[in-house]
Amino acid sequence: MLRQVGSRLLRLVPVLFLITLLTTAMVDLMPGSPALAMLGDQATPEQVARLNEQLGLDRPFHVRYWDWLTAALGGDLGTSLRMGLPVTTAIAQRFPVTLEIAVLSVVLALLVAVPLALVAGARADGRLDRTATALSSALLSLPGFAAAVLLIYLLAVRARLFPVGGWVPFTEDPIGNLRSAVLPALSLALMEAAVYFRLLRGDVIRTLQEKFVLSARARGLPPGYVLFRHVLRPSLFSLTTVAGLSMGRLLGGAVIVESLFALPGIGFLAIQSVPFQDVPAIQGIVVVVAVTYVLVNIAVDVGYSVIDPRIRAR
Amino acid sequence: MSSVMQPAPPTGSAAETPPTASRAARRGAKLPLWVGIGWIAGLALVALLADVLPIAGYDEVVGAPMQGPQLTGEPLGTDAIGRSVLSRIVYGARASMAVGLTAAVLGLVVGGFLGLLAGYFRGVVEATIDILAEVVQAFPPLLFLIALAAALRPSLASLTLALAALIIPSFARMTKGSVVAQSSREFVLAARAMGASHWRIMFREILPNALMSIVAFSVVVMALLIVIEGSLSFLGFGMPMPYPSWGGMVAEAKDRIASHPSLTFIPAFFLFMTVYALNTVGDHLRRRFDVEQSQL
Repeated sequence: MLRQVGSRLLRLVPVLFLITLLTTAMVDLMPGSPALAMLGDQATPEQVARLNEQLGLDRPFHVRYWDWLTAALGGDLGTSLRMGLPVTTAIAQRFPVTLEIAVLSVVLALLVAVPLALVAGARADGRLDRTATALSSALLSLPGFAAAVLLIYLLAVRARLFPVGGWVPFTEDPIGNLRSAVLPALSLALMEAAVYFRLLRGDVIRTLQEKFVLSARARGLPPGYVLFRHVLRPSLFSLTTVAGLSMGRLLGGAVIVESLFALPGIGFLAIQSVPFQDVPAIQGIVVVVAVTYVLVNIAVDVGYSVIDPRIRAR
Repeated sequence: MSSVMQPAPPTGSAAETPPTASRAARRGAKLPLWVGIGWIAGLALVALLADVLPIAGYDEVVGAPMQGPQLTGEPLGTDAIGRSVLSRIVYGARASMAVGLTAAVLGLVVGGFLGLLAGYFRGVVEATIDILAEVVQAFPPLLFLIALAAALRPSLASLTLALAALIIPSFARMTKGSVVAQSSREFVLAARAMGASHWRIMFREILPNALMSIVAFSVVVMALLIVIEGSLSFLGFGMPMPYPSWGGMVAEAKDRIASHPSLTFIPAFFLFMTVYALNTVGDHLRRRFDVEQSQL
């Protein structure tokens, strides 16, 4: 187990190296320059050149990358060109927003999907099952931004239950914070819930065919008890993995939802940084997101072997 | 990252249709499939014939702005600057289908080839391809697309290339899995014993057996690509203006959603139906070829 984690962490080194190199190269290839983006179209070429020199952008590609890399290895991700503050600070400010949305949407999705999948799976092909399955395929085909716009229309514009957008920090107003988080989280949760439902439903149907379920039923245990105490746990393995992975993905920032609702999270920061060619900020986000993603992946694998002893034995 | 980047969910499992499903229920389950096939065929036809159809140009002002759907005149109404919504939907279909199909085919060919190499040779080849795949997949996907498309200068071609690059690792992984499974079968061993070349074993023995499940996978991938293209256009990083894209139409209309909801919901509905149709057909193909493979 430890060896496996070690080798996965070791693989992170070339991956991070290539990712950051690729990011620098891609931003370099974009038309225009950060100085031009900062000064606007009216700037004279001399002004642009001077600012590029001040920012150290006139140095060759490999020198810039090397400087960034050595600083980053010491924990310094540089200063954002657009915001003028350290990239680590900028990311640290925005991470809690992304984290809150990610946790909230996974929790919402699980709350809906788990009971529904249990009940639907227990009566496979029943009316409830068919309705829920059809609904889940529909939700899986609804693009995230369309779901978000639909929810805004129904719950914010028509019903006026939630604000159309914006973010209220938790420290200012906990209730307002929750209200501003619900719609974004719900937009993401819709598709997550559909995925979780399908997965767990299939596993529940498979578990129900096991002999221990038959034996539990033969002992006269009530069906609901069998479902929750005998069937649920052994059916949860793949759901745990997938929910963990979606958490890893969501922690990278939900670009669309964050920009649509104007949430100050990682994804919105990323999308704002690209037109400015804010290399340090983009680079910092890419590193943080990639590391988070790989770490969550490893954690999911470790967690999996903790829940399922059969994997550990191998 | 965002919900649009959901990899095709594992819906093709055998548990999808429980063994207890009645015959009537199975026949009922065919209905979405036929709706899906019909929708894709109709849309493909309309997209191909867009230039010959009796509709306005996508960039042509045809009347007063924001007219609702009308029986005579514009059947789907006009947008904020008086362009025909129907025409923009039709040309948007062309863009979505072209980009989705081309990127899926590119991803299939390149990713399939890499996966074939990785699954057949294993060892260093596999490790290298795995690391490259991990690089692309650990990237925040939309950020990757936006940066890559910007680096290549925004155009339909660069958008398609960026989407293909994003999806290549998924094809490589999927193909690798299939190839590894096929490689251990008797006919491969037999071919090897007869002294067949690597090339021959890969392309004549393994590939034909793995191909159908990869093709089925690519239909679902096309749905995913259409969603991603829509999302990029929604964010304003997709199709170059003024070419219409369903995602872009939703984005343009969303600020007027309170007064003119249909402007938002018409393109959203077309996007949804297209993705639903592709998903349904792709899922059906995947299930079919999964079953055939497990029976071998």
